[in-house]
Amino acid sequence: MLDNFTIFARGGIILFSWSAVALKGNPIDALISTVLLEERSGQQSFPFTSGSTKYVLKWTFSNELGLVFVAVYQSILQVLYVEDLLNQVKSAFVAKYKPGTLEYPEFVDEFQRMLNEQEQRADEIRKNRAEAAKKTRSQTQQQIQGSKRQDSQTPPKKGKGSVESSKSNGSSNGNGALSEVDETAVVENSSAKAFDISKLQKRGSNKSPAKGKGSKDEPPKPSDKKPKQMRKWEDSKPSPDEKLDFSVVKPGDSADDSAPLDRVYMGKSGMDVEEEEEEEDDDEDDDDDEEEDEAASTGKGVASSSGKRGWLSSMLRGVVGTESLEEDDLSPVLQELKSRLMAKNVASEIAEKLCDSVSSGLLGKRQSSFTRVASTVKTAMHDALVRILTPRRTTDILREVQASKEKGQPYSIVFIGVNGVGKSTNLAKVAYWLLQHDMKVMIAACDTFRAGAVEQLRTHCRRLEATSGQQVSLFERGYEKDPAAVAFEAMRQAKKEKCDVLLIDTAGRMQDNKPLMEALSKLIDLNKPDLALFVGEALVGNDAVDQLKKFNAWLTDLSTAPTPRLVDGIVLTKFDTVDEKVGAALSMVYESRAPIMFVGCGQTYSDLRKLNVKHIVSSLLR
Amino acid sequence: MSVPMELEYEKFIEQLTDTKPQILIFGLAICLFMLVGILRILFGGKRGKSFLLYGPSGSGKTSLFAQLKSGTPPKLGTTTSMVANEATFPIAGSQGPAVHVVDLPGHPRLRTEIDNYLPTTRALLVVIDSVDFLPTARNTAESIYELLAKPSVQKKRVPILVVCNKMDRTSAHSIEFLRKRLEKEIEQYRTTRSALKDTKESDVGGLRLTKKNVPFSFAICTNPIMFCGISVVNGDVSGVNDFIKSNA
Repeated sequence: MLDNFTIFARGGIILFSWSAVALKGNPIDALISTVLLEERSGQQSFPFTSGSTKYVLKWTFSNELGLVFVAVYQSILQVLYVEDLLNQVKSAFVAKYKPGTLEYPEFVDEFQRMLNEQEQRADEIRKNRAEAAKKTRSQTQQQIQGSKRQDSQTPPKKGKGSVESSKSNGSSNGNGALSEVDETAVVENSSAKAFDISKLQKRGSNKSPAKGKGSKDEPPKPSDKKPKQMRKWEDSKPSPDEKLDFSVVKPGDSADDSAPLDRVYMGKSGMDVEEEEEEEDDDEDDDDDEEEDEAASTGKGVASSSGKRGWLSSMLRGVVGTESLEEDDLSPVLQELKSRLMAKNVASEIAEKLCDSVSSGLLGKRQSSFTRVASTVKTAMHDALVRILTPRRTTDILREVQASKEKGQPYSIVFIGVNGVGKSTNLAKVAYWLLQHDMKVMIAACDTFRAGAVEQLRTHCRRLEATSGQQVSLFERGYEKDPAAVAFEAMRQAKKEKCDVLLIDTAGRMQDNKPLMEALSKLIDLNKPDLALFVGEALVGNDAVDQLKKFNAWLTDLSTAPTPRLVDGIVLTKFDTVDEKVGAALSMVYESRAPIMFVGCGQTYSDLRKLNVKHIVSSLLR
Repeated sequence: MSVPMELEYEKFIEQLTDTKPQILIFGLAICLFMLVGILRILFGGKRGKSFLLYGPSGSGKTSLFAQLKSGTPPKLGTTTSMVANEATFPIAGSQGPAVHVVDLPGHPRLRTEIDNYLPTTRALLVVIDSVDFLPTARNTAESIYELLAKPSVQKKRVPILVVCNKMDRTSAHSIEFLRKRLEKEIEQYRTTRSALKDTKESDVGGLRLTKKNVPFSFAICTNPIMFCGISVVNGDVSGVNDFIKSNA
C-alpha cells in the first residue's frame, strides 16, 4: 500500500523514515526541487516517475517547527487514507519533536500502529461495502430483473435492442455477469429506475467484449470479483459518463479499483505543462466525491458505507477548520498582495498560485514578536519571488558556447515566439553581443513565411558586419521552404565553416496555430538546438502564461522524441516600455520554469541586458 | 564632592571658550573620525563570526553540518535543503569557544541565500563532491567564481577552504585533479562573465587577483584558499576541524 513515509526538517535532515520497499529514484528530492522550492506547494499531490514505477507523493507541513511530512505510494494503488495518516502522524510527531534530536527510534512503533489502524479502517470500509453489496443483492437482483423485464417490454429505441439482448445474454450466462449487474445496481439503487436501466445498458454493452475473459477467471467469491470486472470495462471505454459512474463506486471498494482513473490522470500531466489540468482533475475528483456523498446518503443500500465516508470527510473538514483560523489572518494580506502583483501585470492565475503557496508555507507558523502579519507575509513573498526568478541553470551562454567550441560543434540557438515580439531584432542583438566576444556567428533565416523576413536579416547581417568588422554569414534558402530542412542545412554549413554560434530565426506564430506549431516542433526535433529561446514581450499580461503554456504543450504533444525539448530560456523584450510593470517576467518564468536569459531594452544593438533579480522583485512588491 | 566637580567643570568651560574655534573644530573632527572608525570595526570591515558551508546540492553540506555538530553523520540521510541550518557549538577536540556554523542550501534556486550571511562571515567552506565531480564541474566552478567575485568576500579577504567530500570512495578524484580542473573552469568564466550589464545598469564585479595577465589559479587570489579532503560518512572531518580551529 504505502511505500514510504518520511519526515524531514526543512533544513534537509531526515528525522524519520519508514519504508515498505526501497524507493526507486529519489522522489523526495524531486518533490523538493520541482514543487516545494518552485512555489507550487498549493498543489495537492505530485506524480513522480522513475523508470516503470509511478509514484504519487502527498505531503503536509508543520510550519511552526519547520517539518515536512511526505507519504509516497505507487500511483496504481489508490491509498485512500493518506491524508488522514499524514495528519495523524503530524500531530503525533509534533508532540514528540525536540529541536536538535535527529533520531526518533521509538516513533517507529507508534507510526506502525497508526498505519495499521488506518489500513484496518480502510479494510473495514471495504468489508462493510462488500457486505452491503451482499445484503442488497437479493433485493436489487429482483429489482433489476423486474425493471429489465419492464424495459424489454417497452418498445426499445433504435440500437437499444441489440444492447439489451447482449445484456440479457450476459445475465443468463452466469454468475459473473450477474454479480456485475448487482454491483451497478447497488450503486444506482437510489436513482430513478429508468435512469438506472439506461446506465445498465451502457455497462452491459461495454462489458460484452470482455465478458468471455471475465467468466473464465471467475473466483469462488463473487464479492471479490467485482472490482476486477469493474476495471475491465472501465479500461475499455473511458467516456465522461463512465467516469462519473466509476467514482460513485469508489468509496468502499479496494484501492486497486481506481487504478484506471489514476492512470488516465498520470497520462494527462505533461512534463511541466498542465499544472492546471492536474488541479482541475483534482477538483473534478472532489466534485465526484461530493456527488457520491449525496448519492450515498440518499441511497438505502449503501447506508453503512456512506456513514464511514461522512466520518472521513468530517475529520478532513475538521482539520481544515482548525487551519482556517490562521487563514483568516493571512487572507486579507494575501489578497492585498495579490492585487498589488496583478497591478504589476502578473498574470492573475500565477498571482493566485503564488499566494496559495506562500500561504501554505505560513499556515500554522508562529509569529515572531513585534512583527505584523503583513510584514511576515511580505517577507515570505519576497523570498519566494527571489527563489522563482533565480535561474536553475547557468545563464552564461558565452561559457556554453566555449564549451561547445571545444567540442568542435557550433552552438545553436533557436528563437521562437508569437508574431511581432522582436525575435529578429533580439537575435541581431545577441549576434552583436557574441561578435563583441569574438565568436563567429552564422544566422539562419528559417522564417520562410513572412514577406521580407529574409531581407530583414540580410540587412542586419550587413549592419553587424559594418559595426563589428567581422564576417557574419547569412544562411538562406528563400521563401516557401520547409524551415526544419533549412535549419538542418544551416547546421551543416555552420559546422563546415567552423562557426561558433548558429542563430536560427523562425517565423512568428500564434500559440493556437497548429500547422505552424507542427513545423516548429519538427524543426526542434530534427535539429536539436542547444538552446530554445522563447521570445516574449514584457508588455503582455495574462497572455504570457497562455503563450508559454501552449508552446510547451505543443512541443510536448507533437514531439516524436522520447523526451521532448521544451523552452530552455526566455528573452524578455520591450523591457524599456514597461517601467514598473515587470509582471510578465514573473509570469513567464513561473509558467515555464525557464530562466530569463536576456532582456531587450531598446532599439539599438547594444540594448541587451541580463536580468537583475533583486531589481525585478523590488519593483514587483513596491 | 560636588563643589570641586563644579569648579573643574567651570574651568573646563573657561578653557573651551579660551581656545580658538579652529582648534575646537579640529578636535571635534578627530572625535568624529575615531567614532566612525570604532563603528566600522564593530559593524563592518572586520569579519563576523559565522563559518558558512557552501557548495552545490548533493555534495554533503548538511551531513557535514550534522557531523560537526553532533559528531555523527545523520543516520537516515538528508534531502535537498530548503532553508539554511545554523547552530552554535564547540568544535570537537578544541578548548576554544563555540563557533557559529551555517549550512546553506545548495539548490541553485536558493543561491542568493548566502547574501544574507556574508556580512557576518568569518570563513567559507566550499563543499564539493569529489566522486560526481565532472558532470557538475562547470556549475561548481561557476558558483565558486560567483563567490570569489562578491565584493564583500574580496574586501574582507575571507579565508576559503575547499572541502573535497566523499574521499572514502575509490572512484573519488584526487584533490590535485579537482583543484586543476576548477582553476581551468574558473579561468573560462573570467572571460565570459562580466559580459553583459544587467537591467539595473549595475556592473557585475569580476575577480580581483594579485597578479595581472596570468591564468587564474587559487594561489593568486586575494583570498587565502586551501584545499582538504574529508569523508563525512567515515567521520573523517579533521581537515575541516583544523580549519575552523585556526580561524576561530
